[in-house]
Amino acid sequence: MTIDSRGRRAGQEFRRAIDDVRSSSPDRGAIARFERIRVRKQRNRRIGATLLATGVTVAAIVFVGRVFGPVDRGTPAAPTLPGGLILYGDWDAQGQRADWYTARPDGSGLRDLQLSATCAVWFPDGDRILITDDAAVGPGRPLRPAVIDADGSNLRPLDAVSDPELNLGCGDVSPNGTRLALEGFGQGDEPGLDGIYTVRASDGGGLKQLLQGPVSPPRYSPDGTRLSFFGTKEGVSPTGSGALFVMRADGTDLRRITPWGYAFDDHAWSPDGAWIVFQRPYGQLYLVHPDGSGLHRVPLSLGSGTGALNPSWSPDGAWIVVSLQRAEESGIFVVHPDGTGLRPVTGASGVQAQHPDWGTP
Amino acid sequence: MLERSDPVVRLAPEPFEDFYGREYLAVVGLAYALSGSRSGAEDLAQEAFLAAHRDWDRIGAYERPEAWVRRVVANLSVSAFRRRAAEAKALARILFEQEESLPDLGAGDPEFWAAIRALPRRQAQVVALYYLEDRSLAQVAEILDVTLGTVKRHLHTGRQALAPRLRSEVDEP
Repeated sequence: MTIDSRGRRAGQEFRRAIDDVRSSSPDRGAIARFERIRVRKQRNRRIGATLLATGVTVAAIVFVGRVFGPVDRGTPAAPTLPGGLILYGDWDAQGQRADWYTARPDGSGLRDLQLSATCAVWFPDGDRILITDDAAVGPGRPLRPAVIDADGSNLRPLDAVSDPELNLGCGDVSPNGTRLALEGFGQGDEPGLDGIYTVRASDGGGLKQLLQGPVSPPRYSPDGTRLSFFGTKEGVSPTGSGALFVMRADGTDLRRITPWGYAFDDHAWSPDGAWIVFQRPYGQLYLVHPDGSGLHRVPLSLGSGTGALNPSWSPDGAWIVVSLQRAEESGIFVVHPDGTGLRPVTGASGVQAQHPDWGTP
Repeated sequence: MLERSDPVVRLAPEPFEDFYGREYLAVVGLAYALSGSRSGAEDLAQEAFLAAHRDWDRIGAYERPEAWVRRVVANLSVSAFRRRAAEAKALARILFEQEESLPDLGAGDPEFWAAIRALPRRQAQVVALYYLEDRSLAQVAEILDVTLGTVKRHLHTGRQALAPRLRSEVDEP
């Protein structure tokens, strides 16, 4: 069968399936459903603007009460959080970009980095941030990482790789700050370009491909000897059979450490390298040892419709920082690895604060 | 940029409700074909319709507002960050509120749609619109706000790329 005839047949079947949904589930196209979502978003944005104006900390408290219901009050309010800065992105649906901020773990010291990017993570020294912006992809303009100072200034592209067909996306910085591990994918017709790459952190040169295949951004183990990543058999979906993998930092000794279908996208190593926290589909947090043992759920009591996403660790390993998300809004929270002590860092109605990364003080 | 190719306007827009009811599921289908995310597709489509609703007096007056909303969702669906965010939100809702996930629209030939998603972004958009909605090349060009020549080039290159992956022959109708 030719591509054209196969495509036409696939299109016909697809349109027939849509017609079936239309006749069997008329609510899916009902304006009442759209109105519910629209009004909720409108209300959230209005309230969010007011709350933000009164201060991020106050807004976070309101957000906790309204969205997530009762929070564990057993942990004293006195700050026991380590220092450092939490970097996070606020998705701007209207602008279709994520704007990036830093805040202290207690929510104070909010700084707008005046930066739009797809992803951002700290360098180990806490003085610089690795960023990638997938809006920059275009014909003859492959995606490349860049580095900025912690205050959002002094943008330096890391574009020493000259291959115009290869995009280098999001990833992580090695603990000694010398290498970057990045997800890569082809600009043209080269599926073999998909995979994990490393480059020099100084200029983006010294390209090495460690692995081929569709993967999420890789993460370095704290000692820099291993890399972890989320891989899928097909797409990213509830039935997408994603799993976490660990391999040596040179790409050898690849091992799957969760069952297929168990993991979804974001994950992070604890500072002592003993655990990896990851998000399951449906917004549940799980922990697993890097050898695949000890798999268990972080027992979080969240309100209906709320999911825990984008986990990362505090520098002392005592806290997990996470985005709690419900419908169109999300906030940054911290919680102990045993599920206790949940408390807000920042967030407000209508705000989509996501992808936190806790930088070393 | 979105306004550039929308010079033809109606005197009065049709009610948004009618437009939404007619186009919603087809736009969800496009989001699904391009994102591969059965749960995230509806969030992506809702985002596109919300954008249209915010400025419906203007967009609804276009001769083909359905092209505008498809362009928005086509762009949203190929953004890795946007796709993941929509997926994450939808996954949380499905679990906690037992929201029904979208049926598997690509069940007829999932390999074909998966191969399209593996294409470079613009090629994937062109090929998906051409086959999924049975659009003419001119209509695809209008939706994506590119020239007819660009659409032809991406369709040709896309077919060439799909052939070995799908173990099929290339034909140019």
